[in-house]
Amino acid sequence: MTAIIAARNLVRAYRLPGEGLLGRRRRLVAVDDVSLELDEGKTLGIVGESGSGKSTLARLLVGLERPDRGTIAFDGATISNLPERALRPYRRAMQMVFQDPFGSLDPRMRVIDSVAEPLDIALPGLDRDAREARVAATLAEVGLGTSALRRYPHQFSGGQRQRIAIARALITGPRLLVADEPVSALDVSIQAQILNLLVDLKLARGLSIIFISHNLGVIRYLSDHVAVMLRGRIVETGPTERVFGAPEHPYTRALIAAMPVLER
Amino acid sequence: MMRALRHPSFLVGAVLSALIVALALVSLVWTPADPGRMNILARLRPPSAEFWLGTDQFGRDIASMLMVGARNALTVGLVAVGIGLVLGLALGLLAARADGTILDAAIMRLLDFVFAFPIVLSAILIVTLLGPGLVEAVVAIGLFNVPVFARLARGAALQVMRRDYIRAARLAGAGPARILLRHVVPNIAGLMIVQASVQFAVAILAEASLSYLGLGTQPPAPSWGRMLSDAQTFMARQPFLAIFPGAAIALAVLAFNLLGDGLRDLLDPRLRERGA
Amino acid sequence: MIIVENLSIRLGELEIVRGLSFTLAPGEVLGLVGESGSGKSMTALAVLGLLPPGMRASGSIRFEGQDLLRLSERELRAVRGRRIGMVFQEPMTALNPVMTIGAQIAEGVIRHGLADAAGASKRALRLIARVGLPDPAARLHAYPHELSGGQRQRALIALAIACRPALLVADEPTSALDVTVQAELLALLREIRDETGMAMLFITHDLAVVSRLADRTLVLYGGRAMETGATRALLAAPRHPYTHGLLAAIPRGNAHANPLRPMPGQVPELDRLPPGCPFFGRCPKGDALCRDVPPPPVPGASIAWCHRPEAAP
Repeated sequence: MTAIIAARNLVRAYRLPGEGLLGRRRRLVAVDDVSLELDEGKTLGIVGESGSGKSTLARLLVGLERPDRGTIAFDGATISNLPERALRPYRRAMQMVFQDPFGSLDPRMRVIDSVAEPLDIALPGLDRDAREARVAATLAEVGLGTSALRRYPHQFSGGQRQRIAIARALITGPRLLVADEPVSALDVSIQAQILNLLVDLKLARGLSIIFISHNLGVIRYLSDHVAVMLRGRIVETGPTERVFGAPEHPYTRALIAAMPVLER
Repeated sequence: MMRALRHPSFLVGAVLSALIVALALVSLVWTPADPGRMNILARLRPPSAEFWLGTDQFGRDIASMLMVGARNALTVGLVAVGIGLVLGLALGLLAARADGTILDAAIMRLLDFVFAFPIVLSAILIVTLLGPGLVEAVVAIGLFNVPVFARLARGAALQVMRRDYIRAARLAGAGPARILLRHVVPNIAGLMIVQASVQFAVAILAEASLSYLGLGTQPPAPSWGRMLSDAQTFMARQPFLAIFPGAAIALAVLAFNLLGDGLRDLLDPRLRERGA
Repeated sequence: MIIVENLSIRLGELEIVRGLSFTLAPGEVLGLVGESGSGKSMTALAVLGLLPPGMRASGSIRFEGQDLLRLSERELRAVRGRRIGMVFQEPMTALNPVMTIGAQIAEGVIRHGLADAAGASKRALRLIARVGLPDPAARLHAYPHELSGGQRQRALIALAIACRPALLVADEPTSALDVTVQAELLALLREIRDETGMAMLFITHDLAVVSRLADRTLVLYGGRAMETGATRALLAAPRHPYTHGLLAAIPRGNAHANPLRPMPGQVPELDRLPPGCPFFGRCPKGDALCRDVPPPPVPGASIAWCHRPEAAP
């Protein structure tokens, strides 16, 4: 069985502005020799603290950024060296959900147009009724009614916006969903709703998910496999219960020890 | 909409601007008198029932000249802002799209160079090169509006382009043209409109200045700036001759600046969210 | 030491906080827990006399023999920073970017007349060492941007306790930080409390944080008190359905083994609350009584403002 997505030795570095006018430019290696693999229908949780490179890795995987070195293969086909145009067919199959529900929807677009945008590009000839029906069906799948269609993002709460963003990601029927801290900006009670929605979608659609978070609790909740990132590298990876039950790397152990656990 | 009515500077600016536009439109079909007709017998008259705002040194009706002058001022504003907005937006978006590259640097440094000259001074430069005249003046003012709009468009576009919804659009398969037209332009349009109304006022003032110096609107077409300059000679005898065109210029500049201020507040999404 | 009675905060027609009462004894930590729109941050700002313009507080906040709500801005300034310290979520905006850490700490000490310049500087050095910043002598002359997020929050804590306040108001001080740093800071706050005996009003959305720090907890929802009591008892056996729901929303283990049962619906919008219990509509037990009549406090192992509280075990 080939993996739905497989990354080999990814490296991505940024050039930072130097100190002062004549200072030497520093290089920040955000992702440093990362390899990972995800089987279809499974969820991989990537956990790390700020600056660990987990968001850069997310953007590399969906092709929003190009790796300096290394390769990414989607369903066996190498995509990391494709030009933007050739990458577009793959876009339909890989989608992403972002952290900030207030920044991930165009404030000037009605919900129907935001959610339909991937559809409009993939199937430009679709007639209006069919388009609206598909948007409505996808919104229903994430728990929103048709009253949402003609409204603007600012009329929704953070949790509802995240549902809209998930609907937009799902409308072209992707096989892989990369979710970068999708519940971190949400209230506790809403966070649980979105987590369960992702679990349901994974089961109903056979969706493969890469779930990125700093929150060990939600990682453990959603993931089949876990990768722990520290300063651009994956320092430990394995099945979720093994990593949480018997962490091998000292950093994983430190993270788990610091995890805010309810004492009662 | 109700919020617009409660916003004092927007309200005053909108009413004054509408008044100026209305006077300009009415002047197309009707003026109290023929603004070009000279009347030697009625020179330098003070305001009266016959001549509402008096007459100038040739006996022309000042009220009528001001009305036709408003048309002139608005045309100048529209064309100059139009040139600045269209070219500025295009260059600004191009620079933003090429962010960090040589093209971006080249565009912005060129615009910085243009921007380094004060608008009236540079317009004088162009007009002396092309020769005086309304069209030349408007083009000059328009060209020197370009950097204002380009800088604003670039900065705002860069901010918008960093948002996640742009990333989402790219993931949706959207190409650069669609991203610019569907996402970036609508989201910076508010800012551009606000700046346009401010630049409108600047353009009116610049044209008045050029005409005052004899480099803009040529006689006999009425222009507020030239009326002011003509009035200078007779200032001591008939001060109202300078007061009325001066007031018209000041009022128009104030009107469009207030309108711009008000629009800025009303279009600010953070303030709008609170109202929603 | 601080007695808040019937505190209400209004913004025009909107009641952001309604009829809140709580007390704090010296050395005690009260956790104020709630989601967005619960009014927890506004309550903190009311205690500090820092409500945004347009908001009005009524009721009383008694602190060291004065009603803070009746004090003039001038009188408040003598209390704020001196007797009541504060720590906010975002240390970068709470610190002055153009002043050194040492100067900022010393400034308050001097302004409140607690020491001269030399004494204040010495005290600043001691505090910087106390909050665990490495190489204190160098940090004294460092600017905020030269510190990491966690170090800034430590500097802010030093600033807050510089005048030895009797009360520290902390609004989500660790929420923006990495978990490893968060754990260290919570330990630091606990130590400082033990050493100085100051009381702490600790605002957070995170029940796990509350369980590690707070002696007592007050759960807010839609601007009203839901449940209050000793933290351990309240978390062990919540009596209010909302507290219960909050606890049930925290992931434990894997989805297959321990599926979450999240409470339905959205976080409330204050202008659409029912006249009765604000949790009505999301509450599994809600009925007509809950909708129409504000529930009274029902005493038990904890106090729950609920018509249908869980019986104490």
